[in-house]
Amino acid sequence: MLDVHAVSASYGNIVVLQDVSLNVGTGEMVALVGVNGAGKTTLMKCISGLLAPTAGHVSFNGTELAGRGCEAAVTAGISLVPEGRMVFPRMTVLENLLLGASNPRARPKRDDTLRRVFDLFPRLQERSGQHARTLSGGEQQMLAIGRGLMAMPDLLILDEPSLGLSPLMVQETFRALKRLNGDGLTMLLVEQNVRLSLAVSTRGYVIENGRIALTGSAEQLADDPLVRKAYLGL
Amino acid sequence: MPIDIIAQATVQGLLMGAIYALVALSMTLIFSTCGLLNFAHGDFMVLSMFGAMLLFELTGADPYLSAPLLFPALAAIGALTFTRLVRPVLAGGHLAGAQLTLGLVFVQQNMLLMLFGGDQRSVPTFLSNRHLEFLGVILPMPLVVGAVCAVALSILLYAMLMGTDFGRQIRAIAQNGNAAALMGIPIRRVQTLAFALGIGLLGITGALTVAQFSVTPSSGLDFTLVALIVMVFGGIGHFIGSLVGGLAIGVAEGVGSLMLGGTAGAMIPYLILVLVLLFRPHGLLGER
Repeated sequence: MLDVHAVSASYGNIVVLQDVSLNVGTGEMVALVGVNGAGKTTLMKCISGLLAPTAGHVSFNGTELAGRGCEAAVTAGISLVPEGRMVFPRMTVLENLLLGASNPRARPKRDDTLRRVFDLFPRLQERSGQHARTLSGGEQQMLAIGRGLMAMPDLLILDEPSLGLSPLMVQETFRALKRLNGDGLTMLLVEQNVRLSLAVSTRGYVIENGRIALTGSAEQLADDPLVRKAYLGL
Repeated sequence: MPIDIIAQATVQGLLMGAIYALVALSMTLIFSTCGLLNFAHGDFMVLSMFGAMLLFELTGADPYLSAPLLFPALAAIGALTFTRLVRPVLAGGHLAGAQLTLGLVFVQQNMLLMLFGGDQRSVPTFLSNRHLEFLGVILPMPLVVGAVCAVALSILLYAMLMGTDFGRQIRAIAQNGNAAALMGIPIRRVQTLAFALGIGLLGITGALTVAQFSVTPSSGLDFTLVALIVMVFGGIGHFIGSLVGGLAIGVAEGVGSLMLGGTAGAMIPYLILVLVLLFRPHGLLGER
């Protein structure tokens, strides 16, 4: 479904990604783990169209997306829930969600999608008239995920969904993600929380200094001595 | 000072303020969606005034009739300005964009000077020399009509921003451009339309107020400065703030000129700006 091939990216002279390849198949939940600054968010920017890679291809269901901007990626069926949530602070929860359905595929069906999002996160319905900035961190994360779902994506990418959340809220968020994946939604999960993300995923990639250092099934990675030492503290 | 004179100055200031508010709102619209501080803002309004004048001199059309024509005309000019000039230059940063608009100010001023000369001109409407008397306050009709239309247009703009998909997209871009892009919002198209709408509104405002102001090639910068003050006064990007700010600046200017005379009174809006920047740097209603 998603095929990232030999992607490199840089900000000015600073090379952030080098020759990164990664793929996600239909129905999978794939984890991309690595420490802060390894290049995870930059890779997500390249996939979602915020940043044009300096080399390589990003293809989605056969459509080439590299360097074609966000609109092309969203229309093709990729929805990114960005790091830091990036909800629209001075807009209501409902308005945030409606904006999620801005692409022409999702727009006509947005009332149905909205109902499904409210089913998944009843809290959002209770708060639908509130400004997004008045929500708690966990509620904002729900809103960001809900907004991402409003685009009716074939692939939902989550960049650091656990960041800044209480342990309880992290569990609740990941339960929702598992449920979505169980319903057939393909997901790419980008996390610093290695233990948690490998626990819910089928496969994973480890990114280090802008390169893919390791890949394998979630169990393999969790048992890998390097991963255990560097990321799991075992 | 007799109370009725103060009342006169206050009401007249409120009416002027309503017009200032609309000019500031269209400036805010462009600033917050396109990231451009448009120093040529008032000049687009002057362009519309000259358009109304030309239409009057050529065909005898009343400026009130020209207003609906000048909206699409200025909107088209706005769209072209944005796509051909502003967007390419803005890629070089906000400062480059602001400098470009300063350049536009002088290009247009001198072009108008060449074509029409520097004399002040006035354009009559069928309402010129008519007055509205209300509780002892006497108001020139063109000012009343200009202010009422400005309020109506401000309300329409607000309803559009709050209640339509297009308005939501504009606000989304203003609040977080990257997040808006991730929603698949066609940023460039929305920016072009917002810019065209902002300039188009000036097209209407210019035609509706041409009978109230005298028309000279160089008056654009005055409108721009007032709009800037109103925008900063109310809190940049804050809609209600701009509205309140416009009315406040209008009254301050009106009552100030009455009390201190025209020259000293003209300083008042700028003094207020300095005070607001000192004590409420995010504007009266702005938030950090």
